[in-house]
Amino acid sequence: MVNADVVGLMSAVFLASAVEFVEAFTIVLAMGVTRGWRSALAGTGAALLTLSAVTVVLGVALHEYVNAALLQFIVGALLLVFGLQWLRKAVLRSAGLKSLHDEDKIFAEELAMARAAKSERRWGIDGFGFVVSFKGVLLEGLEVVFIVITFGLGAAHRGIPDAMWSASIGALAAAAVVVVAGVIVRRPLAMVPENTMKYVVGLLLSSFGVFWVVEGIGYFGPAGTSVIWPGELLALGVILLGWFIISRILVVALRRFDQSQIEAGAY
Amino acid sequence: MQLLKDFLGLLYDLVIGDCWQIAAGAVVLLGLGIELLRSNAIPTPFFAVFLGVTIMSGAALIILFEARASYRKNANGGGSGRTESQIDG
Repeated sequence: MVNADVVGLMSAVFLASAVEFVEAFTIVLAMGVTRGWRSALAGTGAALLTLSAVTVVLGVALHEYVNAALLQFIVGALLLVFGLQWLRKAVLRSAGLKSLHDEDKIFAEELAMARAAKSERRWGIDGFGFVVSFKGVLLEGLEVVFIVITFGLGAAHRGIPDAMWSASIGALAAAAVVVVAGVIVRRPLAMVPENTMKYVVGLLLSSFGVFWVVEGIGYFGPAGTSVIWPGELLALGVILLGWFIISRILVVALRRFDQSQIEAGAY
Repeated sequence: MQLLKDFLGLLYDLVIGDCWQIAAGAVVLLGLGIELLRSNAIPTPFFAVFLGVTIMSGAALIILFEARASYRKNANGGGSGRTESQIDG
């Protein structure tokens, strides 16, 4: 029987990873169409190999050699900073201070850039197509690796069985869904509600970040053990609700600020 | 060497991104948390809640002030104050 915690873990990783895979897919598609599929897929393959090596080295090193409370602190701090970046962008988008993420527009920009670039072929592979695909998949993939490792290790520490495997399956499922959908429609996946997903993921990452960093900070205390939240896992729901309320307050405050600047003739 | 620079650049984009104030603020808030824990200034049963609320409030203020400062900077540069770029996540 599947544990509810495992389903929650897999869903969170699936959601966060899907957003990244959609962005990587747009880049690879643009390179495949303009610079040739051989170069785009070679760049993608090289990036995936690099990502596999990073995952194995980082995952094993963190799991085997770092104290559990310290690990929670590191994972929590990284998730907090990472999640706040997502949340900040989501708040700016909701407040109208940043343009909404638009895969069609990004695809058009990538196409124009790829068509303008010179062709330098080596061993039958176009250098521009290879490098852009490699960098795109590596950057978006690193975020997925980061999400899988942090969520997986954090959940493993809380005793969720096979947490790393579950997190990895969540990410792989997201990759499969994005690739299959992309192959079927053969265009950028602009219909995916990316802006809403990014907002939800920002809330989730920031909530897990606060939860784990506060627990892990106990490593630096006199006892050297994790701090316990009142209500334990229930506190996570309260933190999530807290971030949601804070983000809505920020959106309202920034909309008012924008309006006041317009009325004051700032531009 | 270039490969290493590129990789460090990717890591910077990943962790710090385009708002270094968030990372700097997190370091300050967590440093404060460690000091509070070591000094036993907050009774243990309330420590987690106190630190959680402090981190969330601090982060919210950083996002608010940074957004307002960026807006004014863009507006002073002749723009609308809003960010139009697409390829930044």
